[in-house]
Amino acid sequence: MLEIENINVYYGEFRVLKNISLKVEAEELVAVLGPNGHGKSTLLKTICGLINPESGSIRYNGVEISHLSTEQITEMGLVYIAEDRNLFPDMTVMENLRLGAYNKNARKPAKVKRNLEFVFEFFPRLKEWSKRKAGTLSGGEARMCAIGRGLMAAPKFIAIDEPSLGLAPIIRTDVFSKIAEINNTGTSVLLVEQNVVESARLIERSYIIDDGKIVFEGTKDEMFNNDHVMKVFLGA
Amino acid sequence: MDSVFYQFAGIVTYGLLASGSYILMAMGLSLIYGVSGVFNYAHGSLLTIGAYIAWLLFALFSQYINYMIVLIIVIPMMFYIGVGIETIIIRPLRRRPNWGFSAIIATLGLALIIDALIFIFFGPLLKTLPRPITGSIIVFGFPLNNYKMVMLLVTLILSIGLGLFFRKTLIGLSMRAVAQDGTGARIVGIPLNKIFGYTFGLSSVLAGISGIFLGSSYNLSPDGGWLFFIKAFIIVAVGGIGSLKGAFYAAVMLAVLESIVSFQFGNKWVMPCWFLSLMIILIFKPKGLCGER
Repeated sequence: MLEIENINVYYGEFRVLKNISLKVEAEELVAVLGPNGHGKSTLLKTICGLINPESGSIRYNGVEISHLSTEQITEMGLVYIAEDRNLFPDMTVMENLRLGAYNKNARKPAKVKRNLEFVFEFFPRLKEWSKRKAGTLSGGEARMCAIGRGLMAAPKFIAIDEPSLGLAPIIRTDVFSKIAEINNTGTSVLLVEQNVVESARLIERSYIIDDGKIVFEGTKDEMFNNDHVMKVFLGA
Repeated sequence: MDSVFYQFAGIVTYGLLASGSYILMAMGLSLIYGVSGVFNYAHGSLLTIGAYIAWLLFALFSQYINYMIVLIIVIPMMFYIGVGIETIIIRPLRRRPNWGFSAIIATLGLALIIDALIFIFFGPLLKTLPRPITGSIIVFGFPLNNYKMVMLLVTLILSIGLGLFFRKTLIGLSMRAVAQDGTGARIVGIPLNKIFGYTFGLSSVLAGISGIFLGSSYNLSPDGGWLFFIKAFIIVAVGGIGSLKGAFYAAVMLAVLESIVSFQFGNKWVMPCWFLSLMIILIFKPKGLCGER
């Protein structure tokens, strides 16, 4: 479904991603793990078109998307859920969700209504908070709102950045199980995480990025049985 | 005692009536800054353009035309002028570092060019727009022009319309989204350039309408927009730059202040008093009445 080949990304002179290649099959849940500040978020931002790669190719359902805008990529059903959430703080939860359905394939009133019902079923609390300003939500609440907003876009593929960051352990577990649920509805997921142990349950396959390079690629079992990987890169 | 009270009430009412065109021009100026971060020095000149287009229409078709038709013609024209300014002048700057300052220089240059073009085409002589409605009613012993009341009514209807537009329509919501979190807006697939263009268009429409309103109260001159630009600037700074609600309240407040000051001390004290009130408000609320950023 998503094939990345040899992409290189620069911030000015600094090369953040070095010849990264990875693949996500339809309905798969793939994790990108590794220490902070080593290009994981940059990878997701590049996939969704917020950053353009210097070289290499990103194909989504066979279409080259590496030079498309985020607007065009979102329209194709590939949706990014940001680490720092990027909610609209002075707008209500409802308005945030409504804007999640901005793209042409999600904005029809009937579709907005159906997706809204789905999101409220998924996160019942969001319905309670629908009139609250997004800026007043706590970390966990804002995370749910951000995921809900992503789901409003009717995604076939979500790229989600550090969903557990800054959340209390009990809420973390909740968020991870919601992501597993999203994946079970047939949506492919590319997950960036630091929290290996807690997210392990839902990972099928993973990549580890260190210093902008992929240093490991394998199934969950291969990863957990590889002492070197666990010690050096995941600190577990 | 009674007569003092009536006089004061009359002065306040007079100020409230005058607030209509201030509200529109200040909301327009605040809107652009809030959404796209551009402080538009050409806002006053856009006001002048709106007024001169109206004057031209009246001069050419005086028998067949009224303010309704003028607005129907001017609104889309102003919209496309605004979109054009954003697309041709602001957008190329946005890719550069320090573009905010370049945008100030560019809009300032644009203002001077517009003023010069108006001077060339229409000449230096003052022009006047016909008053749409004549007559007045007496309130608290003060004559209140019927046409000013109509202007205020139109302004209030437009303000309510704008409120609905920003709450209920996808484009309105998108403008607020871009103002609050540009990256968030890109993530949900909002095309920033298009929204910036629409915002300039909407702001220019508001400038054009207030230009027509002001043009029917004052004389038109090629550089007449500057006084109103400065007024709009002070209103926006008092209300909180980027806030439409703030622009609305500040416009009403300062219009009433203007009325009081000009009755008590004379016209020449209006701007110093506006500026003084701006400084006092900024001491207590550094970001203006409704400013958050």
